[in-house]
Amino acid sequence: MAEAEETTGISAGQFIRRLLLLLGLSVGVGFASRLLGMEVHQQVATAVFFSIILGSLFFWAFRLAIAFLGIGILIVTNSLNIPHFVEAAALPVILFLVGMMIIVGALRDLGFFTWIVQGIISIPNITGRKFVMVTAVASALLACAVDEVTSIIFIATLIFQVCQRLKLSPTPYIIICVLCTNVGSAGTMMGNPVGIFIGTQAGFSFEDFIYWAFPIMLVSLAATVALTMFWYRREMDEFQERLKERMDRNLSLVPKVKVPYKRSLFVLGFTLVMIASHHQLEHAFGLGPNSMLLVAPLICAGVIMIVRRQRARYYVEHEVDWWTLLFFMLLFAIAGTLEYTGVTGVLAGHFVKVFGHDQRVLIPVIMATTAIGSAFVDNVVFVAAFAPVIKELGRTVAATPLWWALLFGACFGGNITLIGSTANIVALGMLEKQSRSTVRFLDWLKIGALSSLLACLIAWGMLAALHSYMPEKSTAVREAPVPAEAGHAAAAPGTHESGGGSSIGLDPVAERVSI
Amino acid sequence: MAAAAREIKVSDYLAEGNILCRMGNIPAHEAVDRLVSLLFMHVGGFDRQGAIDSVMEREQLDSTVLIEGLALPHARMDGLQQPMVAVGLSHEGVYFPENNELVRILILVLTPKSDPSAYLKLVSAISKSLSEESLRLRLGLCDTPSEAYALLTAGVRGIPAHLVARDLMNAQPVTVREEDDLATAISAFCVQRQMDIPVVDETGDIRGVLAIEDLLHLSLPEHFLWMEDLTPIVNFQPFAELLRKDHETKVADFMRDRFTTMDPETPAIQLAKDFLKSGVRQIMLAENDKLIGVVNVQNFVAQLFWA
Repeated sequence: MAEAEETTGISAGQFIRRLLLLLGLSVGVGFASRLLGMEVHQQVATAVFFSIILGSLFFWAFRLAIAFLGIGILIVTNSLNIPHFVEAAALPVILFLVGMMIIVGALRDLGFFTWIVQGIISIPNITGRKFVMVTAVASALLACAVDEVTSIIFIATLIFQVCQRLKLSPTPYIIICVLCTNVGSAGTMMGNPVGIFIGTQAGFSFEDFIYWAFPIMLVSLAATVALTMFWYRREMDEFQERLKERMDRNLSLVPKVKVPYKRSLFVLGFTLVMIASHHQLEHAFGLGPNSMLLVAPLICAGVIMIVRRQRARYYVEHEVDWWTLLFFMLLFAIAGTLEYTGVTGVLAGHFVKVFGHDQRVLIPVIMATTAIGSAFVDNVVFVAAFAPVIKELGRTVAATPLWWALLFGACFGGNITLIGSTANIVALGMLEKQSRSTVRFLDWLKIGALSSLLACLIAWGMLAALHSYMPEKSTAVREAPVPAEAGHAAAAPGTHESGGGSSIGLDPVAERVSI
Repeated sequence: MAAAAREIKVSDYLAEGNILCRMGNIPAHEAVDRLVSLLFMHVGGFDRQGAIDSVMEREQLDSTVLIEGLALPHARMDGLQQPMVAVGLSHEGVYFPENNELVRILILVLTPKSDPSAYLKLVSAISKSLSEESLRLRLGLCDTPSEAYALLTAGVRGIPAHLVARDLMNAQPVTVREEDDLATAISAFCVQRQMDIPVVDETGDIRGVLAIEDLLHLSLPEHFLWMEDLTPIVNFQPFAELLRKDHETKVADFMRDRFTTMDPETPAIQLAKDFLKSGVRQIMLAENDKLIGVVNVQNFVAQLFWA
C-alpha cells in the first residue's frame, strides 16, 4: 500500500536525483572507509550496506531491487562467495517467520482476532479511557504473541470501526496503539523480526526473553500508556463523552455475537507451548541451541496445513509476505558480508576505542544509537549491521546486556518517527485510506520521541540495575564448530587483512554465526 | 386521385413529457392512474377519474397485455379531440392481476369515441413499431423519457463504427448526495433496484460512489470478515439497530470516496475489458469531475447484443 503510493509518487526527476545521491554517497562512504584502514573488499561491503540503508530511506518501494543488486555486486567483486551468502542469509530465521505468518493466517481464519476484537468491544461497563487502555495493552500483548504488524492491522481495524460509530477522528487512538505495539514487540522473540534475529545471534532462548525482556517491556508499556493517554487527554475526554452518550441511548458499538474461538486458541496455545518449551525439548533430544525454537512454527504450520489442507496453498501464497522476507534474507547476507570481510571487526575496534569497555557507558550508547538509527532506517537493517559489532564486543565484555540494549533501542526507537517501524507505516497507510487523514511528521515526532525517550530511559535504568545478574550466554558463535568451508573462507578476500578488526585480535572467519 | 392516407405513427400523438420511467413495482391500477394524470396535466380536456374508470373497466373485461411485458390499456372517451398516448416504463414490472404478470412497458391510449377507427390504427402503429423484441427489451431498460422517446420515434439506431462510452451511457442516473441519509440510500437501492449509485454534490461533481455491498458492510463489521467460516455464528441480527438510526447515518459515513471515472469518449472495448477484468458493475463517466452519465454492465450488454 505505502509502497504502491511511493512507486507512483516519485517523478522521474526525483528518482534520478535520489539515485545519483544514493550512488554518490555509497561510493563516497566506500572510499572514506579506506581512512579507517579497510581494504578493497571491506570498502565494497561497506558501500553496498550503506546503499541498502539509503535505499530503504529513498526508495522504500525498490529496496528489494537494491538488495538484489547489492548481492550481485558483492558476489561479482568476490567480496562474498555463494556458500557464505547462503550461510549468512539466516534461512532458519526466515523459515521461522514463514511459519509464524502461516499460523497467523490460520488464526485469522479460525476467528482468533475476531474473538479478541469482539471481546474488547464487549467489555462490560466500558468507558472511553478503559477502552483505549485495554486496546493499547492488547495491541502490545498481541504483538508479543504474533508480531507487531499483524497486531496493528487488527487493532487499527477495531479503532476505525469504533471511531466511525462514535464519529471521532481515529488518529490519536491509532497513534497510542502503534506506540504501544512497538513497545510490546520487544517482549518476545515473535514480536519483531529483530527479536528472533537477536535471539539467534545472541543465543537467547524464549525463556530469556520472558525473564529479562518481557518485564522491562511491561514497565515501559505502562509508562507509554500513561504518557500517551495524558498527552491526548482532551481526545480521551471526547471519546469518553461520545461513548457514554451512545451507551445511554442503548446503541452498541458492534452487533453482539458469540464468536467461536476454541480451535484458534488451541492453535495459538500449541504454538506458544512449543516455542516456550524449546529449551527443554532441545535438551531432551540433544539438539543444538535454538534449533527447536526455529522449527517450532514450521511444525505447527505443517500440522495446520494438513488439517486445513484446502487452505494450505492460500496460506503459503497469500499469508506469507515473501517480498519482505526476501529482503530480510538478502539484508542478512549483506550484513553478514560486513562480518565476513572483517568490517565489523574494524567498527568494533573503533567503538571500543571511543566508548571503552564499561557497560554503564556501552548500554546507553548502543541503545541510543540503535534507537536513533531505527527511527530513520528499517530497524532490521540497523540490527543486522550492529549485531556483528556486538558479537565482537562480546569477546572482551559481557555481551548479554548489550544485546538487550540493542533489542530495546531497535524496538522503542521505532516510535520516534512515523517511518520508524513497519507497524507505523502500515497503520498510517490504513489511517489515510480509512479516514483520509494524515499525520504530520512533527506531530508524530513530539509524542513519538517523548514516549521513545521514556521507554528507553526505563529500559536503560532496568538494564543498568539488572545487568550484573544476567548470566553470560555461550552464544552460537563460541559454541559452533568452525564450519567445514572455513578453509575456503579463510582464503576469502578480506579475511587475511582484516584491518582494524585485528585491534581486538579477531579472525572474522572464526566467529561467524551458524544459526 | 385521392391522396393516400398518411400512415399513423406513435410519435404523432406521443410527447416526451408523457413518458414516465422507473414506475417501480406497482399495481396496474396505480400505473394507469399515474399515466392518466400525466395526460390530464399535460394535455387535459377530459374527465380524469372517468378516464381511469373506463380504462380499468376495459381492463377487467379482457386483459390488454398483448405479449410478455407489454400492455396497452385503453379507453374511448367522450369529448376528446384527438387520440392521446402516454407511456409508462418499469424495470421491476407493473403487476397485472388478471394475467398474474409483470409488465415493463405500458402504452396508455385514449381515443375519441367519435373516431372508432383511431384506436385500431394506433394499436396497429404501436404493434408495428414494437414488433422487434430487441426494441422492446431496450425500451424496458430506458431510464429517461428522452431515451425512451428516441427509441419509440426513431427506433433502434445502428451501432456506430467507433462505439464509445458516451453512446452507451445512461445520461440521467440515479444519484444521491453526501448529506442524504441511510433511508434515502436504502430506498434508491431497494425501490429503484440500483446496485451502484454515484454520490454527487450540488454542482454535480462526483464525491464518491455507493455500492449495495456498502449497505451490507455497514451492518457487518470488518472484523467478522476476517473469519473464513461464519456459519457457526447463528445469532447475528444487526439490522434492527441499523434501521433504528437510519436517519442519523449519512451517505458520507459509508460511501467509498475512492473511485475511478472514465472519459465519455473512452472506446467501448476498454469498458468491456474493465467490466471483465476489474469486476466493476458500473463505470462513471465524468468531464472535469462532473458526472456525465454511467454505463452499467447490464445496459452495456443490452445495447450491444440486443440492438
